[in-house]
Amino acid sequence: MNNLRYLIKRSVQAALADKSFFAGVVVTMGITIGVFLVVLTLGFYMLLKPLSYPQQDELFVVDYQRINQSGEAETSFFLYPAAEALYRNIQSAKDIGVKAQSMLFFSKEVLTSEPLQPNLATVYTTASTADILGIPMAKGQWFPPAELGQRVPGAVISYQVWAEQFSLREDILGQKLVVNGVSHPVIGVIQADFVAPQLAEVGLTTQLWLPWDFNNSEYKEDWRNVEGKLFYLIKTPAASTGQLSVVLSAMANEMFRKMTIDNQHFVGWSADIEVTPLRSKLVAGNMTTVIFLLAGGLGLLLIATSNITNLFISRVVSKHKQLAISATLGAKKKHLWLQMFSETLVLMLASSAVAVLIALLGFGLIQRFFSTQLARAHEISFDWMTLCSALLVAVVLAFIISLLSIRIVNYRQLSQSLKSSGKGVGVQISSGVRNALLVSQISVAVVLIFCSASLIKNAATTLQRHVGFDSTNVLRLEFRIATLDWQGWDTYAPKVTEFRDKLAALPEVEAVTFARSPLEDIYQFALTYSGDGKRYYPFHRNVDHNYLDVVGQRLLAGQGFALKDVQSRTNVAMVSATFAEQLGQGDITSVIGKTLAIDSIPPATIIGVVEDLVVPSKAEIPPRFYVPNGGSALWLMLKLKPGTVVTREQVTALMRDTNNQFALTNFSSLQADVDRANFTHLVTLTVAGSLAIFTLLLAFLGLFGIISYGVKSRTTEFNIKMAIGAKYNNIFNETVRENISILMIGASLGTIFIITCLYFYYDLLSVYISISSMYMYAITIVAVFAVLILSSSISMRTIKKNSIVNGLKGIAA
Amino acid sequence: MKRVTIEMNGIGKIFETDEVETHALKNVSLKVYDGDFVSLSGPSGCGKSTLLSLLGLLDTPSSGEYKVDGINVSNLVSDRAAEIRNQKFGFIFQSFNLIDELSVFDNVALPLRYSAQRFQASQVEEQVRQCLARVGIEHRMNHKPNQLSGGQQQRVAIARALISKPSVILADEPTGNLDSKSGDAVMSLLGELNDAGSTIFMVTHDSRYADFTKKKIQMIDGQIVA
Ligand SMILES: Nc1ncnc2c1ncn2[C@@H]1O[C@H](COP(=O)(O)OP(=O)(O)OP(=O)(O)O)[C@@H](O)[C@H]1O
Ligand SMILES: [Mg+2]
Repeated sequence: MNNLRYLIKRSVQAALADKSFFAGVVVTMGITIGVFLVVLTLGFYMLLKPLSYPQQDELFVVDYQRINQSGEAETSFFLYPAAEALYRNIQSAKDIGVKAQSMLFFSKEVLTSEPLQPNLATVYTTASTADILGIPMAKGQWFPPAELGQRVPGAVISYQVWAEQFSLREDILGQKLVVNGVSHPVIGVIQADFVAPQLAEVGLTTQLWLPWDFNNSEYKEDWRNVEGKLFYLIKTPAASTGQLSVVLSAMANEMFRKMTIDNQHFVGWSADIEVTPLRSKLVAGNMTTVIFLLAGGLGLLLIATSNITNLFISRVVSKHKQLAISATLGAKKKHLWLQMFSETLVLMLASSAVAVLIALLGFGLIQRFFSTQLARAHEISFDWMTLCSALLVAVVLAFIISLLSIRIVNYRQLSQSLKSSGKGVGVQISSGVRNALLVSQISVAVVLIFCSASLIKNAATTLQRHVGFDSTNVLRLEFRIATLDWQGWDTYAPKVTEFRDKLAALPEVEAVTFARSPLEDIYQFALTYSGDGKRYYPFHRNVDHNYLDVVGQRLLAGQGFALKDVQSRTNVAMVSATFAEQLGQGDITSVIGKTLAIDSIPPATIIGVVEDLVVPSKAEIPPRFYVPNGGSALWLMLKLKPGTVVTREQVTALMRDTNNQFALTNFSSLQADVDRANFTHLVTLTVAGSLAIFTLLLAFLGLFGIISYGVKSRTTEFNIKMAIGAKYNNIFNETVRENISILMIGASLGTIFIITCLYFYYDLLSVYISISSMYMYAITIVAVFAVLILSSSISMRTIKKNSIVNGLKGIAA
Repeated sequence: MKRVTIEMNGIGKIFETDEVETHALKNVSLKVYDGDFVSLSGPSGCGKSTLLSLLGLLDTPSSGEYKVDGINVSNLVSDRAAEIRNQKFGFIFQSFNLIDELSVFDNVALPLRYSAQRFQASQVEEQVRQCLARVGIEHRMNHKPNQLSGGQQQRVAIARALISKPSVILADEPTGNLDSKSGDAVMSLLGELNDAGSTIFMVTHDSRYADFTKKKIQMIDGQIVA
């Protein structure tokens, strides 16, 4: 295979001959293919990759839906007792094709037996889960089979908990863990590599497994309200799921009818069961993200490929003479293509090597920062799949690029071109091809530069926003009442207030408030404003009279809550600046004294307007309103005196002292929360921003390349003109003038594209569009123009430097 | 006494490539008078084209002095050289060097576009027609160069060399790519131009065409021998 070796050797030589071309291509394509590999892998994990459970294609999630009298699905979570009833039914029904079933109840529990009261992601589940998920044990065993309601205590912990909480102590089995007042002996430790299904919340890895019966659901006997933390798994042959859901629906419906027969509200309602593969259920929430990412990655790849193809085509154009000679010497079209393909392949393989490095970096980034946002992201790792894709992409791209480049070479004209333009001295290239390339490149560049610049600007603006509160020296704590025997809030409220007073009495503490973190938008309410009688959907916050002082949120108009508002739950409210502006149509003071009516609750009078809170993850600031809470809650914030510290131990001690059922579930500084929220946001913006900058570079690079190759391909023409007396400036101006008309055509095409996109996707894109977009557009055009002039002059400089005689001989660089 | 239009004194040209220095011209001195018809011949590689490109200010000498109409032009800045090229010299190349993109008409009109003088469209049209008529190729005005035969292309190149009414025509093997019939036609055209007053400096291999001229110069190895 001497021939092949020669081909490879020549290709490597040719690829390396032009160092800047090599570097440019490898860097651009390396980054692009790298990004593409990352999204491809992500897509593969979410859309295709089987779960790591045995016979994973037989695992299904059972969804319970209630259909109201008009046939609409009301809720898609289980009613707690309906789940248990179904479980018993399936247990006794023999031949419906269910091989195994299990229920999982996701929760967060505090280990009150440990001095630091760690807070663990917990799943209460039935014994069969181990078989269904094939849970491998590192130590001890899983729960033994038990009937529902048998209440056999016991705990299985994850390897990570064993390592982090118990330092891998050998005598872990038999240790007592107290959760909600019940003591569970540790009976097993799961192997480190087991991946628990993240059904309730992405990124939350189960740390503690407890028997089903001990879960503290508030809806155990409730046939009216659903339990959102309950999930139901079955194992069944995939072929029988259609039949199965019919059978299960019948069972569930019968039970539902029987249990709600006395309730007027549920007349005409029914229950229905749907069976969904576990795999698709796990990634359901991320489907759009993944598709968006895949489209983005593919788009980037297309843009880069078209840029690079343009470069290659320009290069072919400038090598026209060489090709013509080869053709004259008998090279067939196939030979020319093969040569071009292998040259391109060398470049693409080098790019793929860079791409693999970029992908490794990307995977690291995803696991570190995005595992709570992307389902299955924690499973992602670099494997043969990624490597094969990298190779495949390289080959496919080399194929496409070389095919496109060879297509512009008109083989039949090749041999004639030697004759036609002056006996082989300096081949001239048709301006049609050159101008078409330029126009397409400019229109792509205009679109890319405009979009990237807008994106970067948007990211920068978001990052510079002021948060609207002062998080220094603020501690945030949350606790729960760890009991399975709930006495009603009124029993606990005095104790909670007592706890608050104890905290306030600490010498380090300046002020205490019952309020959630300012970063948390949880409930959105529909309410009616008396000013215009219209309905609004602001976020709801309930706070006490100390709230504004603790978090340092400014009052912009009116007044805040007083102690009496909180004690007697007066019907007053505060609104955020954004909401006030909506309500008062720009005049925020006009809302004071008006009322907000939440359905069926007496309307609340607006007494104050407060500064907006800027939550880092939200692009836009939503409207919010504040109402007084009753002066007790399970969440508090403390403002500490400057330079003082309050420890977790101090708080736990005070808490135990007040009521031994109080369990601390969260203890963090507000600043840390802000930093964390900002950080993920920052990383997202940085990734988006760097991609945008990269696209920008790509656009410039493509433009630059195509113009300089355009100039190179015209060397002979320029030299002829100079020989007959044209000055350098004549030619330069002429070229720029020509390029400007091409710029106008290209820019108009790009602009038409942008406007079309805006027209069709206005809702999606309107966030990014503002007055500043006009500037962005102007900047884009100026930038493209600048690149045009710059690259023209840089590449024409070589013509100026070279002697005309050389240029005419076609030996100019 | 005829006026000296071109004068070279001790011109040398050295090409420096990677390691080798090529002495393409060594101590060349010559005088060309108004209305001369000079032929330059010699073996391949002796420096004929190099000398011609120096004469035409396409390149600068490494040493020596070059005067055009008594003015020293040995080391002119490129823009000034371009002006002189445009007004003083007309070029005819062995390989024609027409621009493929442009029609015959536009190729011929090109020097006028770069002239310091401004021409109106009608003037341009008239002059181009005249020149094309003079070389007998008027009927192919709207063709592209690659639609013409070699002899026709060379006639277009001559028309282009004539348009700015240069006093000196520099021709590098104008018949080199042509058959004898076309070659003869080109030579008689050059003869006519010389009769009309143009100074012509022509490189040729062909002794037949060299004999046609008034004055013959021989070069060997970068030096003028006769
Ligand atoms: N740009 C250049 N760089 C280096 N050497 C050159 C260059 N141009 C010409 N030469 C050398 O200068 C010498 C003279 O070349 P020139 O082209 O003037 O020869 P010529 O007499 O016109 O030959 P021919 O009859 O074959 O056209 C040759 O040895 C050639 O190799
Ligand atoms: Mg020569």
